[in-house]
Amino acid sequence: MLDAIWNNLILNPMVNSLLLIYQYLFHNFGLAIIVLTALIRLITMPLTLRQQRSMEKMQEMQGSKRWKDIEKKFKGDKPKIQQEQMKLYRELGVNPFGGCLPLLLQFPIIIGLYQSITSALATAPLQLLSLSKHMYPFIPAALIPLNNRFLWWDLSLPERVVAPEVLGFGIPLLTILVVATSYLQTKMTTPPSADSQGAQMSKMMSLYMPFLFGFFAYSYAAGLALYFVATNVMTIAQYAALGKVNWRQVLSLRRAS
Amino acid sequence: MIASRVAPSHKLAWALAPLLAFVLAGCSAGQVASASWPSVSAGEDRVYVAHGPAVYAVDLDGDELWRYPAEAVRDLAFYAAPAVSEDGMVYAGAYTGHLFALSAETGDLEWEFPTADGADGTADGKIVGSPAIAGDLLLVPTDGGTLFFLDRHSGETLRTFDAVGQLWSAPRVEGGTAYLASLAHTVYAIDVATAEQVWSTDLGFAVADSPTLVDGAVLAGILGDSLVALQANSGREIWRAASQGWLWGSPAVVDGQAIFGDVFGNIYGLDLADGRVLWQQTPGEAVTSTPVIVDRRVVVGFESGALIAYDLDTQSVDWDETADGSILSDPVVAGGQVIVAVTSKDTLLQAFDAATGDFIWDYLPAAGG
Repeated sequence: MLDAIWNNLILNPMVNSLLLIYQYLFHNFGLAIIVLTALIRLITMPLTLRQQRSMEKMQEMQGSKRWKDIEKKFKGDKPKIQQEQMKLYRELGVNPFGGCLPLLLQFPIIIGLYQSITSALATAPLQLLSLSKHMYPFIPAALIPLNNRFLWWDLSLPERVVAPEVLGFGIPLLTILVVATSYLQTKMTTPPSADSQGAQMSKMMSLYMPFLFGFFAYSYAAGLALYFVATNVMTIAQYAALGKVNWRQVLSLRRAS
Repeated sequence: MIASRVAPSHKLAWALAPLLAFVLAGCSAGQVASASWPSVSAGEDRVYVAHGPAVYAVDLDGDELWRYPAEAVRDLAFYAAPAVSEDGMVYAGAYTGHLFALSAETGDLEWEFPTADGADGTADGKIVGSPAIAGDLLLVPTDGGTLFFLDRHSGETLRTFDAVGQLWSAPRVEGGTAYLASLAHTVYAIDVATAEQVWSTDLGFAVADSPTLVDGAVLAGILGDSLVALQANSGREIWRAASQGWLWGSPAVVDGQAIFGDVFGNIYGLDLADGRVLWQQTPGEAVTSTPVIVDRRVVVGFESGALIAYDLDTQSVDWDETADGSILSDPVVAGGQVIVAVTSKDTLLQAFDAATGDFIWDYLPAAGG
């Protein structure tokens, strides 16, 4: 039952979108992943904007005099502080969980995309048998098997390091790109915090998340890493286009905290 | 105060990141273990089944004779049905890129050959399709598209042929020519003596199973709703017969007919001369294997676990049994039994009486191997 819901709502549309894009995009699966990522970002754009607005409002509120007054007035009384802060949230129309929905949406998308990449590339008999069951009838069977090469990567496998024979050691380029773009993206989207504990947590986040995604990129199919890079670059571009990039904050850990 | 200073969405990210890691790990964990399905081949008084970490020899009462390796080895996985020679050897290809030559009697290792080249253990050497025996040669297809020609007594590489695309099935050898199907839509004819290509034909769709050779023709089922007949000497297409669904298996040939099933659950009997449909049954359950002919019956295994014997003279159902799991690989016949490898946690092999369909025995490897 849950399988059927997941397949019909997430996996099958993603698999078939990938195949359709692949069909019309020079049979290039890497480009198909990038275009699908752009489409997903476009579809989730209203939610992303809502999350941004919500975070801005919250940041503004937490820097306000009233917020600080509450902390000063009820110092030491944690439940009372929380009670008063909740009142303030309500009064100013700020939803403390307003930023959660886009984040929650991101996780099934990542999982669905990962499954659709491995499913569409179908590098083993069971995967190909499974793919045949996910394909819509209008997708031409002649597309199978897909070309899994993109630049020098095999998108169906965890990333192979670049040029080990030349340098004597390998460079996991895609993983580095994932870490770098995740770092930039996290720095841009994490609001500066006024107190030391919050700032410390923000700093940890900006280090922890890129390395976590770097770990995913290094361990799982390179197609997933390509999705991470594409979605990070698109987020950064979107922030830059909206004029929301605080480069001082992005470039300086110290100032960010 | 953290509770008040950090956006709930970021706290959620902290909480969900390990969950994501767990789910993704679940997506990919055991990729080796779940890459394909068990396959069985028949010897004179026993069968050999490749399944996950080992190859098992099982007698016709369902008792295990030996397994290789005797102790489980990390990252070793077998799926291709072993090739069995008349002089007492079993050749088992591992998905993890090794070919093992074993004594059919004892399971002792005679020699092994790594098909995965490169220090990084590239995926190219994975063995999905069965090896084929051609006199003193062993032809070993690999996922990377290389067909190895080995001396089957020593394991020495004599020559190789590089096909385009993945090779997921055994080559068929006849008259000094090997016929090989590739997932990259192509069927090749290769001179066994030189490993030179005689011809190749692009069928327009992937070919997952071995071609069937009959009366100067090469029959190939495609993952694209057709059975295609080619001239064996030229590769020229003779006819193409439409099916409703993909063809994972090859046809069985008997009485001038090609008999096969598709993934939409149709069983077809075609006239070999022109591909005309002579009869069709629609049990409605997916077929991914090649039927087997025994006496005057054609026995078909289904993904649902159904095992149906059709009378060749009347095309009616002679017997209809159900295995305790999916039948995805070809059934085999040994000692008057139809034996199937079953994809199930509870059993691996099941044997049925070829004449009546009565269940005889089943086999599940004991843990610890």
